[in-house]
Amino acid sequence: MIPRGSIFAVTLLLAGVLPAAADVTYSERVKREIPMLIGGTFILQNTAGDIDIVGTDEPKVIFIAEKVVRGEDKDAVEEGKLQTQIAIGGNARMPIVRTLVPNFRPGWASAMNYSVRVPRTAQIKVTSLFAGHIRIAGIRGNLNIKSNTGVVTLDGVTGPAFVESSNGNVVFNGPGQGLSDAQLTSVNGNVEVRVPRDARFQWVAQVVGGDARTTFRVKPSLINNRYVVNVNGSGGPTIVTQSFSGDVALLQNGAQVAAAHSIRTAVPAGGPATLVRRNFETSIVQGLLRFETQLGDITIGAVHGSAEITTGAGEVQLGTVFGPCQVISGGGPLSLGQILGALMARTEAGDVIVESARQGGTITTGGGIIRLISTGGPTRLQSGGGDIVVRQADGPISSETQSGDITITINPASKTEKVTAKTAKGNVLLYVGPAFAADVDATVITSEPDVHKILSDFTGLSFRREQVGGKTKIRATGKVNGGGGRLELYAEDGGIQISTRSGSAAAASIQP
Amino acid sequence: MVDCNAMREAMPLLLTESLDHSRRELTHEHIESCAACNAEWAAYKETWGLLGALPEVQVPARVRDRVLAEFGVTAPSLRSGQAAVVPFRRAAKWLAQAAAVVVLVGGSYYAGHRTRPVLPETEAKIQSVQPFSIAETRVLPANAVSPTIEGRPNIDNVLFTDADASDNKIGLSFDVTSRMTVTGSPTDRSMVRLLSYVLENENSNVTPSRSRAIEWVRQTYSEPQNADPEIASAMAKVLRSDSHEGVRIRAAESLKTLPNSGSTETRQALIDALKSDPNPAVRIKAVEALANIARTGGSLNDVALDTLRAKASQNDENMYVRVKAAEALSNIRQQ
Repeated sequence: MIPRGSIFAVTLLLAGVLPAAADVTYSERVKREIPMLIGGTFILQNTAGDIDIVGTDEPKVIFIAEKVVRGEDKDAVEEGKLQTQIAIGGNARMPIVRTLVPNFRPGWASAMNYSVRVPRTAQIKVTSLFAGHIRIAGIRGNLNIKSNTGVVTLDGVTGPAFVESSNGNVVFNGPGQGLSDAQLTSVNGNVEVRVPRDARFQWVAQVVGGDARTTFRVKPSLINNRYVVNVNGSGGPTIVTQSFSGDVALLQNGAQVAAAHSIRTAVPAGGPATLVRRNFETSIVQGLLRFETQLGDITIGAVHGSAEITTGAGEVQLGTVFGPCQVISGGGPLSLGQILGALMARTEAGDVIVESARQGGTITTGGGIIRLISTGGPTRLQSGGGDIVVRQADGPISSETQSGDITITINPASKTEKVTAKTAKGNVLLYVGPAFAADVDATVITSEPDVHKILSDFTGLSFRREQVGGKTKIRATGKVNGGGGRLELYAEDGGIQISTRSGSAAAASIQP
Repeated sequence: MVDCNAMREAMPLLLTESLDHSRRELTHEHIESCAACNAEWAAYKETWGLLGALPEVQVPARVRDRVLAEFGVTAPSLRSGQAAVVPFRRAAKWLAQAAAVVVLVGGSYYAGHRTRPVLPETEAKIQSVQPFSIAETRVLPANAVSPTIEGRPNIDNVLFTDADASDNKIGLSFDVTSRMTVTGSPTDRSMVRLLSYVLENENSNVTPSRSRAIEWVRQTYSEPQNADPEIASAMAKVLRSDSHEGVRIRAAESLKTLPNSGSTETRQALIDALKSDPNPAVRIKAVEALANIARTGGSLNDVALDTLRAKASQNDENMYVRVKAAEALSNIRQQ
């Protein structure tokens, strides 16, 4: 019942998880029969090992389980034998077979290979962490397969099928007749569908890093980044094939993948480009650096010129840039060193850390923390949600976050500076020198006025408090040290603190 | 012990009825409940009574005259020839009692301060002055504080301190009924419990901000020798429930780097954050934390794997999150 190559495959599967010295192997087989209603649901949960399920006309489940244990020595194998068990539960309507293995397996590894016969009308639910393969054949009921590794093969299944694999390939060999809906997904593997030449159905293909190919003559449409294809006319079931890193293919029975053509080019407006990962790493670039990729990480030590870097998604790490610097990422953290020219850094998601923006610039993130160690020019910082920290500013600062604290330290030697800091949820902390002169306009809007306050080391601010839409609005205005650049500070559901001592919470005056 | 010292310092004042009403009541209550202080108080009273029972003694005339002359006072009797009577008994008694009070107060103060627990100077250092914190700060070692926090007290104006980064001692100042500073090792159970309590309580007013406090805790407890699952659990709660996105980002970042962050609770918090946190940076850190767990051989359950697969396939998710989800799945290894 169990294929001959099974033990060899399992030995290979287990070989990777044990030290080279592990050379004691043990295997044993058990056979069980469980009564099952023909319309029932069979559930199999396995940790490691192959699974073969075949539909029959008998109203029962018959399974042969082969336990394979490999260990460093006899004792380890003995422990593995004891710790690897099969649990049978449920009832005739829903029989459940589970492999029990502890997470901690010192010196041994085990697998359980199942060969199962179930009523062909049964619904099947299989979950497996590490499988060599999972094969389901001749089932008419619903299928739900989740697997982490190994090839999942569906042979002649006529019921609706839902397959999700993390890293393994998914192969769907359609029946001659009675094709049903299917959703076949592999994150890092390929998905392959084989059907008769005359099968009529709708094919939906979605790929990111791979390609979508077929041997059928089709006219695909592009809807929400998915290729939608009517095969042999409209109507019929829908087969959805998805892969993030791999390819998907729709093949006529007997055809090879190599004979299939890409459907990207068949889309009138051109399909979405395949995201090809292209990393870039170098220590020094002389002159202008212009690099663009749809997907990839960029790591550069120094650019002796200007830099223009764009990635659809990826992490960017730059050392020193001697000229202007523009970094755009569709998502991923940015870590930038000394930027001597004007800076423009933007990511759709992720933190941004900049060591130095000598001439200032613009730094934005769709969500994430912005940390700017020092800036020497006008700087604008914006976060869709996350803290903004400027350690030392020698120029005007404009900062805004949807949710997060804003902490800005003005160079203590600076006599005045224009600063705008707005947070829709959080605190604003501003540290300046004792001689700092400014026209202060600070506003707190809060539902907890006893907690969220305006604190200032400077005296002479006048405070006003009023109720606005069920919240308390506290506003402090006035000139400090005779007046100077405008300090516009705004915090909702948070407090404002203007301190002359870096990092301190000292306050000489608070609002009434 | 600290209470007894304070009470003994108050006894001379109680004796002379110089305490205000509340302190008088407090001192009496303590004396009634503390055998040692009761004995001390009895001795005070006995001394006081003995002083009051001193016999009346007439001052010799020449002594009286010399003393009065030194004060520049001429005895009336010297001018008028009338016999002058100085009520020495009363004055002498009060002078003696006053002298005794001085001795007792001084002695008590000295004794009290000699017996007060000696704390390292760095631990007692107040990093910054809190606004309106006029109460004296009480400094307690963490191992003297019960690890059980009862009744969910309102802890406010929280300040995390680390006076000397090299001594592996930290401090936490806060207001409860008065200003308190608890100092000790990061691994002290009371310190861990207290930090967890503060982290989980979004309403704690933390100086300078909760984000900074979480960063501070992350740095402290990322050290392998300080690793504590309760801190990771507290971070998980912050990640789940804090309304402040900046704080949640820091909490997710913490779970990425903290040892002991692979528990069921923290893993579930990361999964939930990856599934539904509106902030993409939180989702990025959550997926990176899950990837870390996978890479380091930690087990991810079916829910985690389902979530990662769903994220990698989710069309409207940020591409970087999808890439990281796919990478996390590819890193899962059989143990």
